[in-house]
Amino acid sequence: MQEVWNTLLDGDFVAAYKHGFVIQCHDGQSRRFYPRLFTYSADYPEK
Amino acid sequence: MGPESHHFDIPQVPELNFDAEPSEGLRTPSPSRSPTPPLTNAGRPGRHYRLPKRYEDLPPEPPAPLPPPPPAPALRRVILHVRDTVRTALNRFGLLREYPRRPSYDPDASLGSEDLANWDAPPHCEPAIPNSEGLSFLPPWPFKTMSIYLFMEWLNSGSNLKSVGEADRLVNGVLRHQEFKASDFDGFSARRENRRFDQVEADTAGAPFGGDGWTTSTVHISVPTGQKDPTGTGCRFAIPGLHHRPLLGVLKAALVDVASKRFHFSPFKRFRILSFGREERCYDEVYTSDAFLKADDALQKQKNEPNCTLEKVVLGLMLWSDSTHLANFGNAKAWPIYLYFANLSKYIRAKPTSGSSHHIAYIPSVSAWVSSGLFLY
Repeated sequence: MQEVWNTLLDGDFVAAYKHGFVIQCHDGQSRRFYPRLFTYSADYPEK
Repeated sequence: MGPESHHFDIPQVPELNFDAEPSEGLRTPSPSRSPTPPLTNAGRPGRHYRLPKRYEDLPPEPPAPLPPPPPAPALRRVILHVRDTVRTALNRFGLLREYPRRPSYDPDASLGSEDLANWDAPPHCEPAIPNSEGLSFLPPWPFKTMSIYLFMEWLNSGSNLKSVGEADRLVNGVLRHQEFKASDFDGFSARRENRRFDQVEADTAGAPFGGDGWTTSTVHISVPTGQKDPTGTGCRFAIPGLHHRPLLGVLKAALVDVASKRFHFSPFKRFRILSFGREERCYDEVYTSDAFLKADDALQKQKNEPNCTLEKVVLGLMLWSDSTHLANFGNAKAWPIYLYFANLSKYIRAKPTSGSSHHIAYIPSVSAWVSSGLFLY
């Protein structure tokens, strides 16, 4: 499982976490977004 | 409860007023409105009936709008680190929002009644066309035109899986679309068009919609062998078949999607003012939680990127993973990781039709791989 997350949280994501990324939003304004993890709920794999 | 149950046919009910203060007309009948109250059949003056409070059905109401921005553009550069708390007025339910700083965008400003409740306001229905020429009940009676007649006949016959909502969607979204032409449907077959749709994704791998950027990886895990191992790595196994999408691409795609119109970019506290003036904090969404406010506060204090004066926004990620059975019979299973955005209200997020869940990965099952024979790396 940790290895899966090691794959998912790639360099691009970590860079965005640290420095944000710019997107032009729906209202026409550009904003710099910083992803932050709030919840993660998971269980053990079922047999 | 059907929409009908919201109506009560009680005679002489004065106009219902749902405001917090009972209106004057309810307490004392104003003399100008009814100088002589209508008499009942028994000859006594009629009473003013008032609906018991428990029958009052308050329609939902969006939060009160933000106060207009103060006209002080000269101070704007200083404000960044100064507490600039903005409080909205109360709405009907005594709820207000308190932003730690003025938000640049308020998604709740454009909330309509259809976003707040899942029952439709009873539509105004014109009476059926009066049947003046004697007993002619020919089509399109009782509808206005032949098109509506044909559509309603289709809706109420054949399969009963057609819902009223989907029928409205078909009419308003398709039949009334500017580019809709009935002549385009010469020799139309839904089955064939679906096959064409499936084919196109397989053919155009480079297109942005081609597979949505899914890739397959192999993960390596270390398994202890039971023998003494000074390096501590055990035995390394390769588990193939991790299907995943680049996380950043998913975030970017979600933010340009139309659903991001409802994203809250600025967290706030919601308060309820009790009748005796006391305030009560309402914890209802992730973007009104202390954790979000703290993350936002920390981000605002963080140094800006060089040469960047754009607004910094916390994009709240909420992840779930749970293995699910895919079929009622057999043991087809998937183990997905999926993502929701905390910036979106839970009332939208939790709707199965909102499309706000984003699939990140499908995890391969180690046990299935092990039972099929260990693969030594």
